[in-house]
Amino acid sequence: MNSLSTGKYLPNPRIPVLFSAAVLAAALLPLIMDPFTTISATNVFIYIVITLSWALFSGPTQYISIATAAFFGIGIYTSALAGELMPFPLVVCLGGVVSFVLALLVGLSTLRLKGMYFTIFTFGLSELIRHFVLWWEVVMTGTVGRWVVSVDPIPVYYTMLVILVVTISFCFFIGRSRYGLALRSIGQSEEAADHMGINITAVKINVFAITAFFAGATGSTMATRWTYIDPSIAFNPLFSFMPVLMAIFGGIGSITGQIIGAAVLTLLADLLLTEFPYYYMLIYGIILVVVILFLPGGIVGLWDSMKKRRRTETNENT
Amino acid sequence: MKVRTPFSLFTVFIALLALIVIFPISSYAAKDKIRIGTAISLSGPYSAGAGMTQIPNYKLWVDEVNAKGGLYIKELKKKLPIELIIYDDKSDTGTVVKLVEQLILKDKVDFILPPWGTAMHFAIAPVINKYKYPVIGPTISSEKLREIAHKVPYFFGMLNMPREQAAGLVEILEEVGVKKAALIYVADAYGIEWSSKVAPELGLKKIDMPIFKSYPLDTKDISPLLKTIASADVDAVLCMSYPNDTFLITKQMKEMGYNPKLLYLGVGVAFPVYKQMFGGPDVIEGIMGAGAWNPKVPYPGAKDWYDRHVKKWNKEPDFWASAFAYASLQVLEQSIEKVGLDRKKVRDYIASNTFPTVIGPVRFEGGFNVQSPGEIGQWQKGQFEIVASKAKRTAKPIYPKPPWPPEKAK
Repeated sequence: MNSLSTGKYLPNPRIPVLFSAAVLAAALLPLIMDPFTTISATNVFIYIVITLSWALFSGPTQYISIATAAFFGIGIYTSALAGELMPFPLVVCLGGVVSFVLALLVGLSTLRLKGMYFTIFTFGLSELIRHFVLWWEVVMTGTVGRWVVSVDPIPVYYTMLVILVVTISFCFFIGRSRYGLALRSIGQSEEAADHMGINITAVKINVFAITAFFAGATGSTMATRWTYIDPSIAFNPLFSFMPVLMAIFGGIGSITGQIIGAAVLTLLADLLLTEFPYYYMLIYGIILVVVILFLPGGIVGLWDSMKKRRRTETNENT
Repeated sequence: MKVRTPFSLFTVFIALLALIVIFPISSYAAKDKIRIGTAISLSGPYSAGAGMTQIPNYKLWVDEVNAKGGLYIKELKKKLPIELIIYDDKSDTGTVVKLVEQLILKDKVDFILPPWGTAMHFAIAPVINKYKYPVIGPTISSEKLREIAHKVPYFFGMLNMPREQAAGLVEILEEVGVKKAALIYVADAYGIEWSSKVAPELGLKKIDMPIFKSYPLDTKDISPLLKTIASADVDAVLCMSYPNDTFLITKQMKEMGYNPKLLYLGVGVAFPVYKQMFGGPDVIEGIMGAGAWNPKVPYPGAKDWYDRHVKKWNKEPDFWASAFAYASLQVLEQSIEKVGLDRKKVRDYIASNTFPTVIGPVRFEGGFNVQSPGEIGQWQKGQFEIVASKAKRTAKPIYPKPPWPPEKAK
């Protein structure tokens, strides 16, 4: 694994420099912009993180998971339960760890499932957890909702920025590591990967659990902004489907595409929601349908094909 | 040769930041209107309630205020019209919190009007308190919020709370001579809190409670539970229910032909649609429900508001919280006209005065309206009559409940 630190897998030496510059700019954002911009940006970061973490596993392996809401919700409940007991950064880590452990257990028992069975199982999982938590709250605690200790937007912003940077770096490096290669070969042919000596179960479970860590940590962070949660809020199935949509929208095959998909759709949703409150869903739906029908490679795919066309044109001219 | 810039991570970041920066360019203008904003459910499960109880009253109020030139603002010595900004919170607490912050930070509204439902009020209470915006919530019924009311001094609750309501309900049972009652509740904040207050009250009055059960929020068939109740031979059936299950229980009880001497249901009974949906007013004769308001109440302006509402929207307001929603606007209006646009002063004024409204005099104690204990209504000849509390009665309770009318031949 030492190849990760040597840098020989970096295709472009400018990327780390520019990435750091972008992070620095993002870090300065709350100082120069008005408070609501910070809140908007935080929202964008959440969706980027859950999209990246979803696509990290489901993209290359083609195991379509719709359990993101389960891990996100576990993070939210961790925050609600532990928020008063420990400092905020620790709560966030704990949220991630709890989700990680859960994903590990789930992975151990189910990642031998394949295709549609796996997808349906992951959906069932988040529903199961939601109903379990609901039952627990009603029968054991005699309530349904909980308050979460509120944290100011600025610390939440920086926490999300840290999670975002870690997630992007992680996705970037894992895509270029032996693990990334293993994930892709599982996606292409699981049997072949197995015969080549890849411990497919270990790879799948580990990566699945790590992606759950990011979703859980994000949930823990966001719960402090929502201040009130109940099982249907925390385990809202929307959080399972949005990352899938966003990744497809932007271009499922690249980190860039996933980031663009998440950012554009989040900002678009915010804009439509406030500008066209009555037609918001309609417009949003039409845009999604158009992109999925006409741009199979997502927004990034469009960009690539434009570049290719331009290149062929310049070649023809010379 | 053309230099190709790789479209990669950094470009994304730059584009992303640019989007974020360009996005919220807001306009600033001189103070020529009062901006009032609300994030409320235009879509999702809460939208039916919001569209019934709150939004029509918000719009009615704004139109009326603007028709008379606006609200008089003392420090400017003139009337300012109201501009109402409505956002859709999608019945989602994450969205409502974000939109309320957008209203406060970006749209820079002067005041916030609340969303619909207990969960949404819970979600915004800490937010509006942090930014010091006084909000009077008409559709929250929760003891839990009352317990933490001192932590959110900018939040006010308008509706009657389970504690007083439970006492009022059980008082009627005692009055008419109920000896045995079944208590069922929806497994949601509303049902849990209400049943936990009603159950001990029944015990205090020595009313037997052989059945005490919950059912899930999205129940589609409740007949097994109703059969159990029917075989338990109780006098009264009390359901701490939300609109969908209120309708379901009524429908299935009627189909079964099970007719307890007293039937009480929660939110939904007081909705005007309830009158028609089971085949006309004589079907629901004698059913009791949460909420107690009708145009016969003796408060100044009450009948007038009812008429204006019917005229503007071509439909009756609901008899549950509609009047409370309008009354909360009256409280806000009176406070602003008294002390101006300073939100701290408005908050203090609301907290320490009594306001004449369409639901009678409103006064807040510990953040909650102490208007009257127990508000129960009963359908009698197509009218939603107030039967509790005794002092507010517009009719005597009917007991026992008349039998379901025989199914009409079609």
